[in-house]
Amino acid sequence: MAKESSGAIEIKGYGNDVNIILNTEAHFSDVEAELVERLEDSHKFFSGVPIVLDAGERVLAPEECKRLKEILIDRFKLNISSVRSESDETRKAMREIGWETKPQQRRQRKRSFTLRMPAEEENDTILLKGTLRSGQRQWHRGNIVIIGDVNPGAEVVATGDIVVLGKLRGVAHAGAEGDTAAEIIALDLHPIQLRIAEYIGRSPDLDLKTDTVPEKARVEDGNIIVGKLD
Amino acid sequence: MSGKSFVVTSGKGGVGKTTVTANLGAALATRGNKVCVIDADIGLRNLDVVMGLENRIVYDLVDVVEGTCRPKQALIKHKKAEGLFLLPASQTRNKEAVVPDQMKELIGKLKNEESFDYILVDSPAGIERGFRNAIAGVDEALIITTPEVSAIRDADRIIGLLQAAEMYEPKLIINRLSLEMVKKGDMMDQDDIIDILSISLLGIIPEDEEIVVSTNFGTPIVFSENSKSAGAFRRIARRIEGEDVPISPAGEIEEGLMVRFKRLLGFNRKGPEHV
Repeated sequence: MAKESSGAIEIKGYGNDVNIILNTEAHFSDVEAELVERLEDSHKFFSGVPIVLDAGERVLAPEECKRLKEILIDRFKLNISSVRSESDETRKAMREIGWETKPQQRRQRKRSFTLRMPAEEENDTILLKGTLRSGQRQWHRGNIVIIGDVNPGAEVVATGDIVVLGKLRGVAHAGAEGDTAAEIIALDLHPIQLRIAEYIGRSPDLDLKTDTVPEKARVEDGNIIVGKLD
Repeated sequence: MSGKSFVVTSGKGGVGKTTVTANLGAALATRGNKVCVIDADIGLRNLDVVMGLENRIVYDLVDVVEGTCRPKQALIKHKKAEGLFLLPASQTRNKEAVVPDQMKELIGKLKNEESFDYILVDSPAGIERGFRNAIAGVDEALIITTPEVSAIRDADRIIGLLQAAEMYEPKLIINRLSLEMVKKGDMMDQDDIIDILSISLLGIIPEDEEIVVSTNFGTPIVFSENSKSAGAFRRIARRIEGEDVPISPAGEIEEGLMVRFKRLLGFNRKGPEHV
């Protein structure tokens, strides 16, 4: 899946949202083509994630803005939370088609260790430290290792494996783009729900399990099976 | 016959909106109605936990309004009550993910396409977007208050906002009334509260420690026969269905001698009418 990208757009995660950054120099048709190509693979993965469209210094004509809206919203149903642009003209055109705009400079390019999202490097693993709390959603293309707990109401989504060196009490979705071989491992596995690829397993209504042995969940014959980690 | 929709709201947090929504929904469903309870508290969802359905959530309210799934796919059937369904809120999004018009459309769809008899919308605390979403498209409002000055003040504010939204006849549910405290004169009774709010009373729910237990187990208390509050919820459900069930403190909670005595002497009487 790793395609040679022409660099007309960049998709990056900062803090809690994802930025789609348009290259200033690239021809608009390249921007358009690459956007479609990249989103074709990953738009489901971005479902619900607030996305900032960052046009930077690029000046976009009204038709170009409309075209972007068609691709991002009508076609891929992305949740565009705002548009960032340094050009007054672009901002005006964006506002005319109903997009909220922000004049500010881009957010600091401090690399957020939680949300780096390389499109070209598959099977990349990120390491997180700390507690993921209710309402927080951690997603990553690749594997996720968490040193800490995942509380009820929190969600971890990865296209690869998920390893929690702590208590997994929330929702974990491994193999989110369809990899049924993905696994979820936790030192204390008491999730509300486990999802691997398209399979869903929910916790029993009365969870009587009190032991805290490390366990592993994987898909077997179309069911999510939890077993001891060996 | 088209269904009826209610918002359960209070202004103040922690007065029992979610508990009332869950139990009233359960009480209406056990009486043979098809009931949908909607958690409109996007980002701070609770109704699923109180109803013990958290582990069944796949799609939520935001997925429905954004068209990611059909309403039917997001509805979770309750394990204990035939005809009781939950539409959960999203936990990872915020109130701005939904606009009032989308709620209106959704409630219309639930009434017509899923043929619900009753729809209860559990409103978030506050008067901002979440509240606006929760009241959009509903037919009537149920105001929850506890016998505390702060809760009543907020309820009054909410009643004003509802009137501004052209909902003129909200009904009041007083939650957590403690007979002992009323008897001692340490707590306002229903007459004092109605004096201030001057809206019609739909029911009184007594203070009940068992609610804490049932909430923690994710089983609405309406399912346990012998609790103090379960009866109160069932009577409110009957009133919603149009039955004439008298509301007297004696019916809702055992009326103590002192209260009756005080009433005889002329205490606890209604003050001058407001409005």
